[in-house]
Amino acid sequence: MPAPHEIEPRVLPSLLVPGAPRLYAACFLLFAFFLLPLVVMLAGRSPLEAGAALVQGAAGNPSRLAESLSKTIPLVMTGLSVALAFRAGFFNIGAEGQMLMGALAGAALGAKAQWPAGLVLLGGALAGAAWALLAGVLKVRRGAPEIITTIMLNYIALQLVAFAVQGPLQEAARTQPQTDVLPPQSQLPALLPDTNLHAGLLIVLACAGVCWWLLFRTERGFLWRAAGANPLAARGAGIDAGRQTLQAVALCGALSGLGGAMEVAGATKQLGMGGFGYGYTAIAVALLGALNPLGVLPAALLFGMLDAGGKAMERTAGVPSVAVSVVIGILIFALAVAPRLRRTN
Amino acid sequence: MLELRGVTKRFGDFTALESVDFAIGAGEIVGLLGENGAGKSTLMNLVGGLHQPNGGEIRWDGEAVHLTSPRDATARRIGVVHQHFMLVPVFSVAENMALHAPQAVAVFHADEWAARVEAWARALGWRVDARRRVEELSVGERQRIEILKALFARTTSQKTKAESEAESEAESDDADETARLLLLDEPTANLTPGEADELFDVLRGLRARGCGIVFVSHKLREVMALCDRVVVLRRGRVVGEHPVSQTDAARLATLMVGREISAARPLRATSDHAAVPSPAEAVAALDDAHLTIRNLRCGVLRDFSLQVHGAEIVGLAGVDGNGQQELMEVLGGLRAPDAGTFEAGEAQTPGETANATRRAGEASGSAARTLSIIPADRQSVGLIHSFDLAENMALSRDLRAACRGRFAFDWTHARRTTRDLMERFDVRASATRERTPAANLSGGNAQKLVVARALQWSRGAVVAAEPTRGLDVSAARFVREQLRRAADEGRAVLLISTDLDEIFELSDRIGVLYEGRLLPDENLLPSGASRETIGAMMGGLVQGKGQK
Repeated sequence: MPAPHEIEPRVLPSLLVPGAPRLYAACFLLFAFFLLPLVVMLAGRSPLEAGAALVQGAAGNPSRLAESLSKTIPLVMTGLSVALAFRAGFFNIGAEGQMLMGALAGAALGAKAQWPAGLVLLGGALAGAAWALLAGVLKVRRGAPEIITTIMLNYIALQLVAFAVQGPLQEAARTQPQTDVLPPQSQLPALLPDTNLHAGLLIVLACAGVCWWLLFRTERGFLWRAAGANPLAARGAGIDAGRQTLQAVALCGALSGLGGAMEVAGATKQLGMGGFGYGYTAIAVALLGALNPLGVLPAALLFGMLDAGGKAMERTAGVPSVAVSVVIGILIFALAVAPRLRRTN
Repeated sequence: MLELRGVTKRFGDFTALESVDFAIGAGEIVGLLGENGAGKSTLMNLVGGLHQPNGGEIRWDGEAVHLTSPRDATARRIGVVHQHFMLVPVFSVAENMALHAPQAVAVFHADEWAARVEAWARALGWRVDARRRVEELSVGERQRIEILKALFARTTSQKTKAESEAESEAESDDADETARLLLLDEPTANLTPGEADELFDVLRGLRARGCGIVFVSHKLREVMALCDRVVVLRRGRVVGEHPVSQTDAARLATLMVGREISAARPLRATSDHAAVPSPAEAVAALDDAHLTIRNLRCGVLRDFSLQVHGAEIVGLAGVDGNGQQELMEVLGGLRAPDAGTFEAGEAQTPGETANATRRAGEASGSAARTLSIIPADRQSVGLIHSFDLAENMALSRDLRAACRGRFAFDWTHARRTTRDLMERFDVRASATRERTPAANLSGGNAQKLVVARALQWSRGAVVAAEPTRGLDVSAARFVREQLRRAADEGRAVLLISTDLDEIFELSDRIGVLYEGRLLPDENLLPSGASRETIGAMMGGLVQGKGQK
């Protein structure tokens, strides 16, 4: 696997970010466009019918669109987390774990302590930051590869959640492995009644904007990018690269953790067993968004719609939603391989 | 046995070897002497099959051969020992040997191989524990394994343990496997003097068995002690060939560094206050613009101390690998020294003096702020490829300070400044100018950018390592002029270069870095020092006090 600084953000294709190679992006879009029908045909179904079901399910009516958007919210947070960390030279595979820790902290502060939503979110962000810093400090001070430590920390987070919802945080009824529903003051208000779409959407937009500003319009962000793009050159210029990386890692953990807390306080309203999976899709979101916070927004929306639409497709057209996963997998592969193909030509 | 006739090797426009004739017979040790870039390694790589010549021919046992791969060379029983170890540390000795076997090993029998390697080494008079992992071995032992590997030129087939045992009894049998020609590239670079002596005994033993040995080195004493004949290369040409008995080290040193005087006007200080500061002046210089390095220990560096005063250029000559890299890494803040300190001052601006010290082990210190570094490796340390030129300039603390805004970093200012600097330093990029990614700059333009960044804002001491390596004549000239100007402005400039011509052209005082120590250890040489003196120091003929 290439080290973060070996991947040049500039050559990553992006459909939406200005300055990205246009022709290449167009080919990429076409490729994705034809890939899904092919997979559907392999599954023995009509691609037209499946496609219609997918689009219908993702954006057919306001409530479907709200569903897509509510899936987009955690993808933006984790996507920002991965993109930011990547820019600072930290290959964050741990967005999932950081998100879980944020959700756990949010559930504890909400369902148990019954704190107001603002503090629930803050607690989630801090928990995520602390979780990410574990891997960050191990990397910067001891040279432990973050690709391994963050993946391992994901499993630890998963088990901590499992322990909590069956133990100290389990619902009062003690029947299911889940927490109580958060009290109203701990919840994020819904944007559309009777949907999962919550006020986190506004927070997400603000986060993307702030991250972009930080990365490209402030000295701090410049130092992070320098430390990520070439730690040797950064250190040679008197920049403490390890410190920059740690700062960025803390922020990216906070973003994931906030995403987890928002998921609990806004969408699910309680915490159950199992992982979210958003933290892994986030890697694809970040790459498709060209590691640019503003690119992450549309990329997350695309994946959010694919997710929501895929489930609808399964229900109405009988095409298993894993067909979408297959396409996403191939896209990630293409994203990782494509810049290298380009360079050798 | 081996003969090179009129061999020429070019890399692009650069001619590494030009019409080189070279021959070696069985049972002979030939020393190959030369500075960095003289063509020693290229010659080795041609014979070792890594490169192919552009002209001339290589003859082996009287017939012309085309060595297209290292395997070709091995098949002809030519063994190569590279300067850097080519061993897999976590593998055992036997496994490393098997890895090198010319015939693929389908099934690896660890015990069989270990027995075989040990028996084989015993035949050479060495004791080797082939089951030990390479990482457990000392440097000297590893060197021996490298030689063993190179000697292990041919394996006929998988042999049983019994057979290999039997073979060790009969020397004539295993001689068939032994390399007939051994090429050694700076084999003593990593060895202590004692280990080097042991190595020489081994090589003499091989010579007695009829093995031809090419010994590449820049250490004159070793060449004189070991070799039968010496060939001196300079700038890709053979400039001398003598039996060791009919020459002496001083003559070889002269041949190695050459006599030609650089045609360029020397860029030395015209006033003599910088060259020989009086004690009072020295103290004054210490107060404002100096670079003082005290008892630095790091890697090869052993108690390295040096003081560069304001307004002078001190040239540090020496062959690569004698501590240059460590010195740069420590001064550049990439590596913490084991011991020692350095401090750098700033050229005085009225009403203000700055002085900062970085102690050993401190992660970051203010010395970095007053010290401008022009790293030897501009591609990986000097620039960030994926960043555009303005972003690369913003790596300078001083430019960033000027661009600091209340809410945002003032990229407009950074870009405008970069554009101005590019004009002034004649950095040529594409039409996108300061938005060009640094990866798209040519070597000369990249170096000008690095130099511009190092010299533009700060008033502190400058350390430049190989500042003109790989540059064309005009770019090199420009960079040297900039360094001279920095000294004229009162800054202390330390020039670390393996290019002697550059050292002579720029330096006010000259020192030599040899095996991590500064020579001479009392007073540095004046700019008019003879090439012979410096060559002798580079070759290790002159030792500092307190050394044997």
